Amino acid sequence: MPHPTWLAYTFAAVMVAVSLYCIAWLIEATRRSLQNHMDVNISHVAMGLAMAGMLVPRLNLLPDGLWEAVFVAIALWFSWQGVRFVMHRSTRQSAGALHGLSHYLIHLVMALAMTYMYLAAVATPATARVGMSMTGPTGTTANFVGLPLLFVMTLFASAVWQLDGLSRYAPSHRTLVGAGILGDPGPDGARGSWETARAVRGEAPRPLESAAGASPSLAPRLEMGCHIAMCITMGYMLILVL
Amino acid sequence: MGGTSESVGATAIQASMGAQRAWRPPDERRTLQLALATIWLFDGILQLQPFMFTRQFGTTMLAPTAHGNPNTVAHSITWASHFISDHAVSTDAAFAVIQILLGLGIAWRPSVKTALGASIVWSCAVWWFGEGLGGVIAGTAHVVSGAPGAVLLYAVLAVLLWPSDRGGPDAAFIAARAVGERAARIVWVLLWGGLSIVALLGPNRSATGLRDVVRDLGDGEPRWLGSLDQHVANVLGHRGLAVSIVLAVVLGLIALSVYLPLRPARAMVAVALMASLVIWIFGENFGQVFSGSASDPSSGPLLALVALAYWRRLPQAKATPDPCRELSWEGA
Repeated sequence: MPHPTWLAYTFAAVMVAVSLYCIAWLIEATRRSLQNHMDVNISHVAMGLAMAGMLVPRLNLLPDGLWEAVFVAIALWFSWQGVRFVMHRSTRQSAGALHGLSHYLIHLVMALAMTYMYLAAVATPATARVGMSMTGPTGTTANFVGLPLLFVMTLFASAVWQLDGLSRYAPSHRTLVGAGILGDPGPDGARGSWETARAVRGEAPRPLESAAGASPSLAPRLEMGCHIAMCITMGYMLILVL
Repeated sequence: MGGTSESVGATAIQASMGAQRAWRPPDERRTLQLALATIWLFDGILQLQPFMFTRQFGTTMLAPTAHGNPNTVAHSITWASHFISDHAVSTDAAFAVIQILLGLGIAWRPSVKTALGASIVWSCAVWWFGEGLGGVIAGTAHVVSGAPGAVLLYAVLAVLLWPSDRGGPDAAFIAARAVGERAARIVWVLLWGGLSIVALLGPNRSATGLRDVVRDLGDGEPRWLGSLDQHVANVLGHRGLAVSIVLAVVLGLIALSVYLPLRPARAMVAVALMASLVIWIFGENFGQVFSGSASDPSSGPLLALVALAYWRRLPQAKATPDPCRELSWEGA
């Protein structure tokens, strides 16, 4: 049963917008010599364009086989990064370690989910395909329908977790993002409440918890928003192949 | 930026230096709220499946829930199902948007109270018009297939996970924080005790009732799941009444366990989690999400969330007030 065309176009438009934003982010980050999250944004560009092409076939830029290779490569990259991170975890602060590892794991899951969707799409007869019209997976993928459900729940959990953390980067906390040592007053002279509380107790300020990578984040809320949009869209597409 | 400690995102003390609220990682209650938000989001996206935009959604899924209910209830359900059938695309899109927004609203800290409150209203409406009051009045409710109506459990969870500390932040279990220990215990007894009673009502008492419910689940499911259903149905055979009695006893014990000391209570919460899992897999086929026409993952995951909200905490010494806690924006 084909999905409503207007719904496919809506999700495709969102994915194209996310991809374009991530391309702009990459350009700006390169200009500012920022290193962290480059791999994430590159993978977001690929995923966004690929999903747009799956939802609306005329937007498809590459053959399916090539897309599969791209996402296998992305999955291997994040697997490797995750293994490297775990092997060097003794040098990381615990809060940053958790963020770093989850960062690699979720993008590994996303890459695997994209690969699965291409495998599931390949299994259906070509004549039956209209965009992502699916009657459900056939052939070998039909026996792995538990896997997309696992992907879906992981993606949605990641989306809500990111949304919960969005307030961490509220405008009142701008001065804290990327700050080396908490305690430096922001442009308006306001201090963070962590410092206030610690000052009340007579303690020295402690370093801000660091995300993966030492350089500050560029537009973290928009990046999180893109991730949320991608998780929801990918979840929708996986549900179509359940 | 002042406010009571009971409101989300508010601080009890306004620091003289203009300190801003600090973001704190999710605590146990917030983690359960996020799990609830995930399920709402899943519901919303399930509502976007192609089948949901067809007339069959209203005629084959909603209209049959009117059967066996009192005339007033049945007529309202029939009216609603006809309306939805005649306006399938717009109504289903609205339902999907509402449920997606509920999930995102619970996940976003500034709107958690609003979203939880709205979810209670929406859940009650769906329980009436979409599930026919869970088949409880109609006498068609099966414990293993979603009784008392999965959507009602969303409302129960919204209350139990409400971001207030009426029972104190150091309550014995998470559910007691919002409504107090006594009220939380009553909710637990009503829920699991109610399931225990339903397990012995109507079709659950017949020799083949459970077998028929499980066997019929296999339609439209993947081969491996259909085989599992057939195997379980064969095992149940004509032992439906005996299995229902055992199920009723287990659910009854779970209901009473909320008054037990720490260790036995924890053990029974674990039993409740197992029961939820068994119901979800063998009785609900993961909410039949593989069929292409499921609107929610059914009651299994929600019962598990409820059980986790009653996991007994170890007793802790009373701590002196932490200024970080007073200033922090826990969001839960």
